[in-house]
Amino acid sequence: MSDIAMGRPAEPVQSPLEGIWRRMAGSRLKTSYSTELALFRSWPQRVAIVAGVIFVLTLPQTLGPYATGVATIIALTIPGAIALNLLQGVAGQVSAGNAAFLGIGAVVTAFLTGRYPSINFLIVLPLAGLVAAAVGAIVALPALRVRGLYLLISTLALHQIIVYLILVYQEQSVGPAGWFIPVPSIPGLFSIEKPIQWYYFLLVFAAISMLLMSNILRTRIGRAWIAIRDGDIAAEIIGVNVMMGKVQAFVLTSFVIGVQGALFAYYVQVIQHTLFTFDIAIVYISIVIIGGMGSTFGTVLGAALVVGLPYLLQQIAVNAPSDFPLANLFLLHIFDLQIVVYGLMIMGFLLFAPYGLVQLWRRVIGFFRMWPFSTDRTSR
Amino acid sequence: MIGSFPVGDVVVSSIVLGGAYILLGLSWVVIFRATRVLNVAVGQFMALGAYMSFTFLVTFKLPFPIAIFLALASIALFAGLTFHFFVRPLHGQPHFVVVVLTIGWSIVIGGAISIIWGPDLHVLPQPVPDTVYLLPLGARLSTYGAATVVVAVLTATALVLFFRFSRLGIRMRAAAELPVLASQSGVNITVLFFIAWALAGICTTFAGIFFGYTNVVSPAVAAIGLRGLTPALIGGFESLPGTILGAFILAFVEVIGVRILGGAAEDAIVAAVLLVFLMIRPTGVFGQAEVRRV
Repeated sequence: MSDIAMGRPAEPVQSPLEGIWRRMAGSRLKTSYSTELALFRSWPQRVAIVAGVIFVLTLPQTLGPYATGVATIIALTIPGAIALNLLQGVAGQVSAGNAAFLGIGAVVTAFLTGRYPSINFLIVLPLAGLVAAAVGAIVALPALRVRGLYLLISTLALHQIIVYLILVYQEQSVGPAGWFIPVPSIPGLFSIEKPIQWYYFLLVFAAISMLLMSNILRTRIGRAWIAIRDGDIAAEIIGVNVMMGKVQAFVLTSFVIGVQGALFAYYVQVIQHTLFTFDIAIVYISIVIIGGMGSTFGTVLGAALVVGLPYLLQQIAVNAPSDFPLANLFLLHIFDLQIVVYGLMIMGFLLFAPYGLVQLWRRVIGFFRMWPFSTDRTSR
Repeated sequence: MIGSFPVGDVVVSSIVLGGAYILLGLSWVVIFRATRVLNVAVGQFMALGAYMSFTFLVTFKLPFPIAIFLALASIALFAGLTFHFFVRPLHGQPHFVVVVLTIGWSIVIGGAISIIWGPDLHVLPQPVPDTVYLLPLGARLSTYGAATVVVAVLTATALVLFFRFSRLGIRMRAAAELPVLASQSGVNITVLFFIAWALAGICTTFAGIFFGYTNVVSPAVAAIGLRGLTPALIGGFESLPGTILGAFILAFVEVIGVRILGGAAEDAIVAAVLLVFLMIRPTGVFGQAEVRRV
């Protein structure tokens, strides 16, 4: 009696190419549910993650205060970028609303700390998130009716209106100087004042948002969002509640950006309506594009590149030898050059690596994994 | 308040502002209906047009008509080349990707303008002195305000006639409708798309020049560009008469709104008008609902 008749699976036929197939499958495809669900999939990845964590945790000691300052801003940027990537890269709802939600979170923080000066930041953060989430539910309404470019336009319009409301509220409550935000602290335990404290504090939130994204992708909600992104009518047919999914996507990501706005307010200490420009929303969109749509790791890479690049250029300009031709011109126009390079970077990625940094990364990994069968095409 | 409401002034200011919005709205519509691209860099093209006319008029001291012609031609070429080098390679990508590309391009142009012309304000030299005419009902009309409306209406009419009757315009509509079929029947669609971008560049430059004459030329000009989205959307990104109507509706609401809420509310009012039309008639006032296939 054969194995199949006994209900046992047949032994796979060992072909000489078996190992190669397995390696190819390992590069992109998952062959079992446990690998599909695993966060840490292979030992090189585990080593890399441990090395990365050690690098990030010891960054203030190894790279000095300047790099720590830049890394702090990157850590502050990551939650918002993750939220936009969930909304845009996973749920497929394009949005230019990051700056507006950041503003809502910051203004709620200003209101609460102004009204109740002794309020703890641990209460302010979720409240800022909840208010932003409530507004997010309203912003989701256009998403139920329009899609694609029209949704982008409507979030742009909502951005303009929300920023104007922040301006009116600022004029009526504090005037042009803006709101002053106190130092976040737990009385008797600690207060966050020094740059190095800010670095570790914001790192915690960056890590939480990364875990949130990589986990939500493996839940029912995350899979529903992916289905809505890839084809909303098809998703509806297989039983996904499209309306609910879109609202969930907007509410959850708005919550994250609202909390980020509260962190931003505590970090910069003075809040004005002029901080929340459309350019900020563009920064987040470009982080998602440059990092890679739908990828957690890509978002972090994108945030590091987009936020860090201007500082890097500045360092190059300052440290360039003065006999270097055009050095003075370079230094004179450094601010505009930062902008030009940033814009060129967005265009370059779209034209030459439309799936972002994470695609470049996978190409490199794929090259070594497939070696010696690597061709340029293996890991597209 | 209502009793002393300057009706004549509101009407005339709306018409003048509407003229500027016609030019801006057309810049969005002409590109969108040809290539399905939202060109976010419209504001930067506009600023570039104003700066180029400044350079031709002041730096090269060219006579007025030649300088304006050169500014129009250079931006038209610039817009066409933008399409050729950056937008065409992305053909077939999702619309959103191309929008982000034009965002990147607008950032590059903004930085380049700042490097080339510096952060200072520039004033365009006036070929004829600006006089203000007093009209009945307390209305005031300046020479350049009137010129804006005249040029806007002439440009819009020329475009409508061009798309409706000329051989090139009809081919352009065909190419926009079904690019593959049009190219199969011998229409060179890449050339047509290039021309569409150049035409939009001309509208944008007109808007920039008139904005430069009624205000000053500064990097802030670029921020005006996004307001053209609203008239374009009221026209459904498709219909030129709809865009013209949209420009006047928007201008009227904005003039009244700014009187009530103050100048800081300008962008919010434009955005509110956009949202209202997006909710009521996302296909535009003269548009038809498009049948969507799965």
